[in-house]
Amino acid sequence: MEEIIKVPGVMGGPGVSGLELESTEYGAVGLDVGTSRIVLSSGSNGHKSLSQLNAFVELPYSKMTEASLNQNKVLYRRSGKFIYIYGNDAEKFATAFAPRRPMQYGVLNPQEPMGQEIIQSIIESIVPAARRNELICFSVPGKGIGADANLVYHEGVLKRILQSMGYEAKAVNEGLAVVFAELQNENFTGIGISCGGGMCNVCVSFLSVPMLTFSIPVGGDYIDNSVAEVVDEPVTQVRLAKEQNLDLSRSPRDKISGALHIYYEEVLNRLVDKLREELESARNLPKMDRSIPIVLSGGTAKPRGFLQKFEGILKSSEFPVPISEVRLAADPLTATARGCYIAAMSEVR
Amino acid sequence: MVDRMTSTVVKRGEHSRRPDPSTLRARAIEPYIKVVSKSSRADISLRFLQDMHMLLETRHSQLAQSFRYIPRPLRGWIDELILTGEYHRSIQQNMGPYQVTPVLRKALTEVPIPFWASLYCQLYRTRHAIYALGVVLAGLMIFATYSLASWSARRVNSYLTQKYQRYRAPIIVTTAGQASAGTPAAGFAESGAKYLPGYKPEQVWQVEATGDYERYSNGARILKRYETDNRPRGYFLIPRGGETMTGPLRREVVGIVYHTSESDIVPFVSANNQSIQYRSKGLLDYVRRNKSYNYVIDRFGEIYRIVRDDHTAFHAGHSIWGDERYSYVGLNESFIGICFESTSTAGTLAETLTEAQIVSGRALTNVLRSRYSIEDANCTTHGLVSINPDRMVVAYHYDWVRNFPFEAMGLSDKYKVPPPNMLDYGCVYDEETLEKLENVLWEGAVTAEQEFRRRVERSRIGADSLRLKLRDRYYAQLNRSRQQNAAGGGSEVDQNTQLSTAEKQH
Repeated sequence: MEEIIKVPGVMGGPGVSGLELESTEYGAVGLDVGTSRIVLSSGSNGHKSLSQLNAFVELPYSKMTEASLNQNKVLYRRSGKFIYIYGNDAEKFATAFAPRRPMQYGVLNPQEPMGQEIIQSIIESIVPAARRNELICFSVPGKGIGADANLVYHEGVLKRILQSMGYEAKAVNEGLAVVFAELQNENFTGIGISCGGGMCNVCVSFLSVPMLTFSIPVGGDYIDNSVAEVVDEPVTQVRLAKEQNLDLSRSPRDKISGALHIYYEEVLNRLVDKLREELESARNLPKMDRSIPIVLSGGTAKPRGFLQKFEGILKSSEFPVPISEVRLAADPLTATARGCYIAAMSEVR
Repeated sequence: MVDRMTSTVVKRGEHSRRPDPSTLRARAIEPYIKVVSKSSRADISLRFLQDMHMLLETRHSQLAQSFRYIPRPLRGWIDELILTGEYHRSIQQNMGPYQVTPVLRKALTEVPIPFWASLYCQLYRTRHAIYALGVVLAGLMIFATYSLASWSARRVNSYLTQKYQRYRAPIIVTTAGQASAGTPAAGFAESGAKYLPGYKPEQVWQVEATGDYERYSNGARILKRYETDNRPRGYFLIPRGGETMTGPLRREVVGIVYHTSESDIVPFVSANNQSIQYRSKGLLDYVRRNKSYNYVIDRFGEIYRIVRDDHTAFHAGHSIWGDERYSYVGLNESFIGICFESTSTAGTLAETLTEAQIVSGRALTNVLRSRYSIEDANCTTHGLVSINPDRMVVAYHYDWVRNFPFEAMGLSDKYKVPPPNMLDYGCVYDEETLEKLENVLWEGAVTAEQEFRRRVERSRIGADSLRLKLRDRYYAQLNRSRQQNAAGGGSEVDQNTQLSTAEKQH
């Protein structure tokens, strides 16, 4: 994943953040804690974003290694006999060392013993320390199959990390954050969908009030892993093909593209089916006397043709609510973080 | 699932006739958020929405407490009307922080809202004026109600007063001697008080005088066995309506005052012959001892002289009378007292006087009038002259205040004459007087009261002040006479003890 903007002077090291305090001048910060990336949004209009890869590699500790890392200003953390390189820098070592993910399916990975520590280190690397008990809104996934219990733990851990940094932390549903970021002109009425690495989060909002939220545990990682398995290629290869060559609006050219088409279609079908099912079964939705938009965001929604494919699947059968349009977020990678920022700013008096 | 908007569940596809509160809130907020979103950052718009959601939800909770008293069938209508108005009013009242630019402020104030909501907001803005108007209207209503009630009460009071005055009739004109129509005396009953006939007495002379009696030419016989002395008369003449007494001390008899003895009376039947005589003797002994009258006429018509004519008898006490020229106070000095053995509560004239008493009374009256040239105007009754000087109330003693047979005595009806004690000295009658008189007030009293009221209006001082002044005048005149009499050697007896009790016979 490409970085968006790197604020100069970012330093690595555990528990140290040299981020300029510009983001706290306005008293609020937005943080998207995604399975693939952690994105910070700040600035006068949330226009400044910082992104770190939500991954790490484990190296055996040696003084020379540590000195080299310091010299190259690589983000790392030492724990016992190991050095853990995390964030964007971890990608550089991904070819030599197997990258590990603190999160899985949108929440903290229970099988990863270093998950919590690494998440904390990554967050501390991009989120500045609060000066005056500022407010930070962070994204959390919606309720989904098998994820309810983990959600509570995931949210609690993140809140504790942020509070230890001096913030007043509040959780915001990912899909709702997309609504905040993209649907101001529609009075925050519509459907926000965040298609991330670990899951897809959906929120149906009416005048900024979330009427319906849910998630499905499939996302970019599922597509990558599934394609890699069926085509017998490394995941990195699949990921590269997805980011560079994939066009879902055209016929696949090769085996990987073909597999990607299939699994993308599967994810979208599941997403639309789940959305339809939830809308039909919801009992307290207000009567929609006008059509509402759908906004898609997240890295998984970035490939060319994703929007068309989604629209096609959506229109293939009757939908419970009238839809005015389906569009992609202005910046799919930072929409969630910007939405969290907007939510935080709206709370600041 | 977080739901801050809906407090009630609406099933999809279920169409209620009235929108639920959450829909009303959404409808209320939407016009404003459209304006805010166009001109503000996303976080400002979001903050506006969240603030308005919370505000309207709070307002709905407050109103729901009041609405629970509204009958359920009306609640939907009232909810929609009141809530719509309240939501818009609440939003308009709280959108100040969001009117950060003049353009935005203008746009927010011009947001198109339903007519009812607009009217509601307008009424709310002018609520203080409406409250003030309500207070004024309430005050006017109270005043109007009070005025109407007062007017109604006055009308009812006036109606009842007119109605019951007819039947209460505190004033009954007494005809002279209660004579029946057709009798000679009845002819005089019609004459007005202003114009009295001459009533000149026939000339009577003394036929014979012995030690026991005097006989006169009209048949009168005056018995002298109970005759006694007192002190010579003495009074000053007071010009009618005047204050000062004129001339020398006078001693001649000017008038006659008729009394009843108020003694014990038994039915005048032959069976009571001895009782009647016994009581008469007792009365005569008593009045002689107390020098109460100049003459007593018993029930058999016998005339007894008690106190000689030229001496004072204690019969009138505090009293006032007057003729055309002069007023007289303390009539003991100037008037002869003739007492009929009778009571004033006997009832009709026939029950009060025997025929013999009437005949003797007329004869004695003629004798005295002939001898002393007593004018008809100065022949009156005790009830018409007696006063209570402390309260200046007439009829303090009320014997012969009605039913005296003036015509039978050859006299004009003095019940038609305005009594000088009321006319010239401002005496009045009160409830106690009326009660004694059994609500029967003679015509002359009514006339005197009206005339006195006119005099008060002309005098330009209050009635009470004038009465006090006249009372002082009465006392001054009376005391002067008494002082002169005392200086002249006459004994002074408390005249107010005379005839005030009914212990006359023993």
